[in-house]
Amino acid sequence: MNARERFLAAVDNQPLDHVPCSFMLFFNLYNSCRTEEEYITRELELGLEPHVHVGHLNPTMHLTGSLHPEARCREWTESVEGVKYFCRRIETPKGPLTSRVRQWEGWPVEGDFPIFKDWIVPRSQEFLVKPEEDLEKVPYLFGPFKDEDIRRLQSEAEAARQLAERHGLPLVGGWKGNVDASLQVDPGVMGCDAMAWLSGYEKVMELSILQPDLIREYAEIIHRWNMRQLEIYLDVTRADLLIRRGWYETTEFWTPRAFRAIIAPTLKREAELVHQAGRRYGYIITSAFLPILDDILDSGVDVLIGLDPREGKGTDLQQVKDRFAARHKCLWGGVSGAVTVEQGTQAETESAVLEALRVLGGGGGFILSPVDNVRENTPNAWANTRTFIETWKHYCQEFL
Amino acid sequence: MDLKDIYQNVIDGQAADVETGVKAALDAGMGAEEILNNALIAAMNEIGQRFEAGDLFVPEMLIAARAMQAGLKLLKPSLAKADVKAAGKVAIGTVKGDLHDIGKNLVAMMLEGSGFEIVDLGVDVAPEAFVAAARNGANIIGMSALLTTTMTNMEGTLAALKAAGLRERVKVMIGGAPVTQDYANKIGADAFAPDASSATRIARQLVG
Repeated sequence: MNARERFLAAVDNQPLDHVPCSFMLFFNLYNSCRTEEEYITRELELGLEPHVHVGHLNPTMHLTGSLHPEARCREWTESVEGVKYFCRRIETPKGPLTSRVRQWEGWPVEGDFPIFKDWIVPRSQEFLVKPEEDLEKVPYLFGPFKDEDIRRLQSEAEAARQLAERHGLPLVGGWKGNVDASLQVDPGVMGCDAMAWLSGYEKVMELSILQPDLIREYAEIIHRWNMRQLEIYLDVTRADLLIRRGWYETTEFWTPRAFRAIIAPTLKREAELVHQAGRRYGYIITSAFLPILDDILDSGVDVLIGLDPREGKGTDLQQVKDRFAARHKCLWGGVSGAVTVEQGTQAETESAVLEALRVLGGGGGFILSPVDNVRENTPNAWANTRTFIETWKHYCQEFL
Repeated sequence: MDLKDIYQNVIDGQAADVETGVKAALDAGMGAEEILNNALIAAMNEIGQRFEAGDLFVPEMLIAARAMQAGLKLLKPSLAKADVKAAGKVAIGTVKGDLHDIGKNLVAMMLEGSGFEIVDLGVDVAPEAFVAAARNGANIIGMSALLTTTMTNMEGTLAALKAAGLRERVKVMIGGAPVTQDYANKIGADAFAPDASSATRIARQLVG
């Protein structure tokens, strides 16, 4: 079995020779690599079974989204009492969208003032989209994809296919892309995470209860655009697995009722589209998902990505495994990247990997990874990473 | 509109109706403290219990807390006049280097809904600011961090409180996604709160 066969066997809950290990994110290594090929080679040298990203549709998506041709964006800065503010005005045929972001700890800067990024939210003094007033303008942020971006993705995807084939590795697309110094990983195939960046978490939470129809309409605008993204990935890449990010779609931000009414239907339609093309659909959600587990399973998601036993609120590894195994679905994760691999000891890392393999590995349907990233470039983090890999290699068949 | 209506409107997150109800109750001669305790705080207690029981979720807690705040704003002048004492004074902030504030905001609202006076220090709060808050009468210091890289600043704040001779005067409660009870024990914090509702319960225990 090569790594691709093993990865797909895990996703499909088929028999396999050992539990695969493929790091969701590995910024520690990523940041020191210049190309995707180098990143993959170095992961292989470490003994891992990496996945290859097919590329990124529109690598500048984070800056102004998929700005519609009829929309115009203007940015400028203002200084008030020594504090710099980054301002944006997007003119749309339905009226303007305006935002104001305070510079903090030297960010944003000219040339790096995105609309889609986690860092924007706590710095925002005025959010770009006020849902009660701006909904008809939102489609202008989620406009058509350009031919040149599709052609670029096609070219990247071909290089990715060759790389993956050379090493017998799976291809993954949708969210994140390949190694590129300018690449911003925040946006991609996504749903309501975009709402959080555009409107702020609290406003979306509030309206999801007080004006759910408004938020449903907002979610549908993003979903229609997302479907077009997925169609492009399915059409021009050979991605085995298409991933949607849902870090902010947990019950820390949505009630189960709102998730069921607003988010789950979009997951279902996306999964159906991906399945029609014979591929698999993965969903990144790392915390507080136990109350919506059935909704996630019912939507057709093939693999839940981001099972974190330490930072994931309410994550009960055994319960999640039992429910996923019953539905022949896959789990990807199992160990906390930040708490265990970055901050813990080697003994704690060994113990966490063993526990993950023991609880989650039985019967297949599991891909081991730290969740969601290993980013700290410290001797401790690297020592724990080596322990992680060694423990996995030693016990990867033990609990099958 | 009576107290039961105000109570239910807090539970339902109907801020405008809470304001209307509180105004009406005050105009009808009801005491601010009675409205506070029997409608606003009582409703937030139910919210907290239901959240901890898993019946209710963060967005519902958020809108309830906001509705409570809308009512509390109208009561504050009367409460100040009547010299109604708060349950305690909590200085709360997200630690230095960290800008995440949803969790901190929710804890602050829930504590306020439970009768505490809140000093919200904001985000990216240096140890010195927490020390200053302790000097200014806070008896609980609440610290939040969302990142493993910033949560180490919690230890720095504890050290600063000790250096200032204020450590014994305050109780320190910490929370945030990477924070655990083990970490709280390790750095010598008095309490760890995994969520906004338990933070309220724990704060009451800390002030005795």
